[in-house]
Amino acid sequence: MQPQSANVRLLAVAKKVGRARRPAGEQTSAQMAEDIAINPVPSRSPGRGKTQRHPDWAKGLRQLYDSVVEEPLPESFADLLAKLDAGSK
Amino acid sequence: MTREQPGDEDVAFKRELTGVVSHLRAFARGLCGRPDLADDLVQETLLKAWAARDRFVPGTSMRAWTFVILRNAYLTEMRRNRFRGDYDETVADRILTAPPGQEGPLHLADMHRALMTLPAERREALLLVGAGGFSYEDAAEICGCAVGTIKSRVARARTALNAMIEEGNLPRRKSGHEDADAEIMRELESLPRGD
Repeated sequence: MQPQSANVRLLAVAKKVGRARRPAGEQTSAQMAEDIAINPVPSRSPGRGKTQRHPDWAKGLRQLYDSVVEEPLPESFADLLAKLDAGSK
Repeated sequence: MTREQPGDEDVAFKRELTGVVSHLRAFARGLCGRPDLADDLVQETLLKAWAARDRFVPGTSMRAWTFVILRNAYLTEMRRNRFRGDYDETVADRILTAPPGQEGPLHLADMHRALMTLPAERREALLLVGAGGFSYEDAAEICGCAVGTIKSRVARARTALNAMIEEGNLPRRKSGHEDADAEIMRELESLPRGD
């Protein structure tokens, strides 16, 4: 289990972050990805090659994350969630 | 703890918990890079979250709350050195195919490989802010550090990624032999553990 200090921090985190009343976060992730995509390279030339990749990595990072979010959940998770109730006898 | 039947609070908690499982999986996979170990972490997180559900304040962010638990579980595993070696590139390549319609020249497997070369703290910060959509402030809360620290970590992470991707300095794919080794390691890891 969590040490006590971690529990206290957990509570604080949920409170503070919750206060921002941000929904699940998908909307903001787009903004944040834009935010960190520094120096959108002006030379987005038609030429193929490595330089063209640069502006895409922030989007790629988000896609990486979203690709997992959108995966169907393995059944083991449904099983585990179902057991949570049953386990609290 | 004796509970006859799940109360309303438990039902509500479980509904919210269920809603963040996919995000936990995404965060965990970004942290440790291995789908199987990531899912182990998420399962552990769900159990811990459930055990600690009395301390969750309804109306606050379940995602942030569970991310802290996941992060702690990850750090504990790191200390136990379970994530020795590297992420499993064979699996990563199989899973990280770009979704249809993605025109970008950046392959997700390249992105993943680049991400996994970052020091854990920077990778985590970048994941929270750049992928998870948390503000710097929220990410700092989750990591238990100063906002400036998070900003610095994100800045360093993106500098490294820029260097790798812009300049084509992506880490090379491993040779077939190492892939085989990774596969063996993965098999070993997936053996039932006596928990």
